[in-house]
Amino acid sequence: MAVLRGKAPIIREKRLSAIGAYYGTVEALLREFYDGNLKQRIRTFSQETNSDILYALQAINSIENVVIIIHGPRGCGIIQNHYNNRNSLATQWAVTNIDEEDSILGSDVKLRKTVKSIYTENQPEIIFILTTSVVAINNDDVASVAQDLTDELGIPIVPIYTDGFKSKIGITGYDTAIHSIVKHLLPNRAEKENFINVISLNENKEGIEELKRLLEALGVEANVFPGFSKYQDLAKAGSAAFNLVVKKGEGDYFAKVLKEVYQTPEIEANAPVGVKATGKWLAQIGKQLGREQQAKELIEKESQHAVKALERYKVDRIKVYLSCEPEYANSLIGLLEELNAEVVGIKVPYLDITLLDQMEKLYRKNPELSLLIGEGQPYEQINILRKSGAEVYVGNDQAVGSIALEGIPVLDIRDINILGYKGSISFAEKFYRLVKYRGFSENFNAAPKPPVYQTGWLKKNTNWYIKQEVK
Amino acid sequence: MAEYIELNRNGCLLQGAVSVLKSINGVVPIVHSTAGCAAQEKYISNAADRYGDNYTIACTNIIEKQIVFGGSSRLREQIKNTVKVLEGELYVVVSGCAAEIVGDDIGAMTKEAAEQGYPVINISTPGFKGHSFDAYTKVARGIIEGLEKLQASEAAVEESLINIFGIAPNLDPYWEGNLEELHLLLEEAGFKANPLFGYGSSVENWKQIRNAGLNVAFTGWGLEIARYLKEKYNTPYIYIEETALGIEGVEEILEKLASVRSERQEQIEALLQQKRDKYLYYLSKLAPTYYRRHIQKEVVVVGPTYIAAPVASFLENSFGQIVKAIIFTDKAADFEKENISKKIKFETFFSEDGKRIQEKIRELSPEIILGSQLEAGAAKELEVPLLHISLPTEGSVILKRSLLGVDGGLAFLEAYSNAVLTVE
Repeated sequence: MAVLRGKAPIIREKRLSAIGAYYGTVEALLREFYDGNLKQRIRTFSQETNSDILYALQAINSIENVVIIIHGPRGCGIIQNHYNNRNSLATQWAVTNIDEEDSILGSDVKLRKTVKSIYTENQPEIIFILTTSVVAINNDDVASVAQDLTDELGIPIVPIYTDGFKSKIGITGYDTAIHSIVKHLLPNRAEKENFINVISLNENKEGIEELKRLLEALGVEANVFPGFSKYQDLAKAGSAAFNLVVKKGEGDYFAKVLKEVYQTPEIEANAPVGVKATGKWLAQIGKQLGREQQAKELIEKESQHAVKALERYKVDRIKVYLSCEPEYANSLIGLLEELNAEVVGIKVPYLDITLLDQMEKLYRKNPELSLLIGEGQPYEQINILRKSGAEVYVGNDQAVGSIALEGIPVLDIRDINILGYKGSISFAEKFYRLVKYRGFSENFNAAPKPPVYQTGWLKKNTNWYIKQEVK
Repeated sequence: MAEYIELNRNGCLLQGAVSVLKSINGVVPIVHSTAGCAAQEKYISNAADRYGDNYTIACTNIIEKQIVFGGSSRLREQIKNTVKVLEGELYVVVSGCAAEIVGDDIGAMTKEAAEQGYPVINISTPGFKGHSFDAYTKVARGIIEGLEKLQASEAAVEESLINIFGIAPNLDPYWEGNLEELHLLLEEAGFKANPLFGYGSSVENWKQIRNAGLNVAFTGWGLEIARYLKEKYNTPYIYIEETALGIEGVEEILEKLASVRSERQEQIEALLQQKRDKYLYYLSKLAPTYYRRHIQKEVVVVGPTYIAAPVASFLENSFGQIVKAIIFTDKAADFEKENISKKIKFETFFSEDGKRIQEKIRELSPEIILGSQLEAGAAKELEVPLLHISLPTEGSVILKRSLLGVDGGLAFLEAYSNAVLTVE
C-alpha cells in the first residue's frame, strides 16, 4: 500500500497541479496546462476562505456513530454546529481546547485524556482526530496517542493530519481525510462482491437519495460513503466491483487509492445534473455493468417526464453568472441553456488535472468564456458582476450575501439537491421562481451606503491582485 | 489546563474580535491567520449578518512558506492592498494563532502603514489566549487607544452625549435591537446617544467617545470600559449590572439617569410614567389568554450570564413562570461562579459543554427551554418548545428584535406565549 505511506497525501498543488487563483479565458488556461507551463498564482489581497480542516470535517461528519475531536484552540471546528444544523445531523464533536499553556508545553497529554473520556462517555465505533495549525506548528505527537489508544480501547482512533496552511486549495482536506479513512478503517484484502461503491463527499441527503433511487431502478446495489454512511459501509469498500465517484475532483483520491489497494476499476461518468447528463450517467453505468437495456428503458421513462416538467420552467432570455464545482460546470450550463438562459461567466473554486476533460468540454463550447478560479473572494466576484451584465446569479458561492447587495437575485444551490431527474426539476422550478418574481432583489438596486468596495477597485481589471507565485 | 469541550458554542478570542469589529461601520478587520479561522467566525454569531459581511473579511490566509519564513511581508502586502480595495476609515489587524506562534512582527507592519498615513491599528488576538467573550473589552480599548494616536483635534465635552458600553455585538442574538432600544430611550429622555456598534455607528462616533458627558455601562465589560474612560477622560458613568427586561429595566435606567442629572428629573419622571402606562396597556391584552390558557410553565434558561440571568428573573418576577434552573454557558472563574450563584435565587449550573447541558436539561425535564440552536435536540426529545435567546441561533431570523425596553419586553412575552401555545 505504497500510496498510503506518509501521514497525509502530497498536497494537490504538487500532486495534481491544482490552482486556486486565476482570471481569464478557458482557452488561455488550457493552453498553460498543455504547454506544461501552468503558472501557480497567488492573491496579494485576499478575503477569508475555507481551509483543509473544513473540508476534512465535511468528509467525515455524516458517518454514523463516530465522534470527531478537533485538536486545537477553542474556536477551531465550531463550524460543525452549522454542518449539524444544515444536514439535520446529531454528530458528536469536541474541541480539545488548547490554551496558552498547552501550546507551550505540548498537548498530547490533553489529547490522550480527551480521547479516553470521549470514548468512555459516548462508546462510538470510530474516533477521528483532526489536527489544526497550532498542533502542526508545534509538531505535537498525535500519531502515538492514536496508536496507543487504538490498542488500548479496541476501536480505531483515526488521526487526520490537517493543518490549515500546507495547501492553498482547501479541498485538499478531502484527500487528507480519505487517506486516513482507507489507511485506518479498511482491511488490507477483500473478497469481491456484486455491488458498486458510490463515493460522495458532500452531496446532501436528498441528492444521495436520488442517486440511490436511480441506481436501484437500474438494479445496481450501491454502497454509498463516506457521506451518510456507517462504519460497515466503509469497511466493505474494498469488496466492490466498481467505484463510481459522484464528483470526480472531490472523490478522485478515494477511487485512486481503492484502485491501487484493491484493483477496483472505476466507472467514468460525469455528475448527473440536468436531463442530458443524467441520461449519460445512467447509460455509462449501464454499459459498464452490462445493463444497457435497463438503462435505456429507465432513461426513456424518466427523461420524458423531466423534459415535460422543464418545459414549464422556461424563462425569457436572461444572462446568468454561474459559480459551481468544476464537475457541474458543463451540465449546469447545459441545463440553464435548456431553460433559455445564457451563461456569461463562470467561477469554480479550484482546478486540477483530474478536471481537464471538463475544461476541454467547456472550451469546445465557448473558448472565450470568462473563468474565475477562487473560493469566496467576493471582491473579485463583484468586480466581474458589475462588468458582465449578469441578471441572475446561480451558485454554490459563499459570497451570496455580498452578491445579493448588487440587486442581483441569487439561486443558492448549496443546500438543495440538483442531482438526477428530481434535482434537475427542482433546480428549474427554483430558477423560474427567482427570475419571474424579483420583488425581494429589487430592494437592493440602490447601492449600499457606505459602499463595501472602493470605486477604484471596481474599475480595475479583475486579476489585478492575482500575481504569479515567486518560488 | 483547560478542559475539552463537546458541542462547543463559544468561539476563540480572534473570532470574538472579528464579531465585534465587523459590527462597526467604517471599521475593516484584517485577519492575519490561516484560512478557515475567519470563515468559522460567523458560526458563533447569528447567521444573519449585516450587509456585505458574508465572506468579505480581509484575511492573509497564510501558507506554509509564511509559517516557516515568517508572514510579516505577506501582512504588509495585505494591508497595502486592503486599503485600496475595501472602503474603510479604520483598518484593524487582528492576529490568529499561527501568526502569533511564529512571532510575526505585526506591530511593525501596522506602524509602517500608519506612518504612510493609512489609518491602521492592530490588536493581538490569538485564539489560544482567550475566549470570544474576552474580545469586547480588548477590541473597544484597542480602538480607543489606536484612534487617540491617529486624531489630532482637542476634546470638547458635550454634556448630553452618552456612550453605551457592555452590549456586545454578535455575542448576543439581540444585541442590535437592544442597543437601538436603549438609544431611543436615551433620546426620549432628552439625551443624545452616540452609536458605537451596529446601525448608525461610525469611526467618527468612536472619536467622539471622549467628548461624552456620561457613559452608561452594562455588564462587567461595560464597567471595565467605563472605569477606563473615567480614568482616561474623567467621564462619569452609571452602571447597570444586569440589564433587566421589561418595565423594570426601563425604570432602573431612567432612575439612574435622573440621579446624575437632577436638572432633568422632571422630564425623566414623566417619561417613566408614560412608559409604565404603555407597558400596562399592552400587557393587559395578554391577561385573558394568560389565565385561560394557563401560561405558567416550568422553564430552563440556557445562555451566557448577561442574557440568561436577566431573562430568568424577568420570567419569574414579572411573568409568573417557574424557573427550574439556569445553565450558564459563558466562561466564569470559580470565585465568580460562587458570587453569581449566591446572588441568584434559582438553581444554577455552569457549562460550556453542549453534551453536559443536554444531559442537565433532560434531567430537569422542563416544559419550555430558552436557549440556542444547540438545545434543539433536548427540546425535540422532551417534546417541548425552544425559544432562542442565546447564540448560536442559525435558522432563526433575527434582524432587529429586542428584549429590552417596553417594546422588547412585550415582544419577548409575545414570542414566549406563542411558543407555549403552539405546542399545546
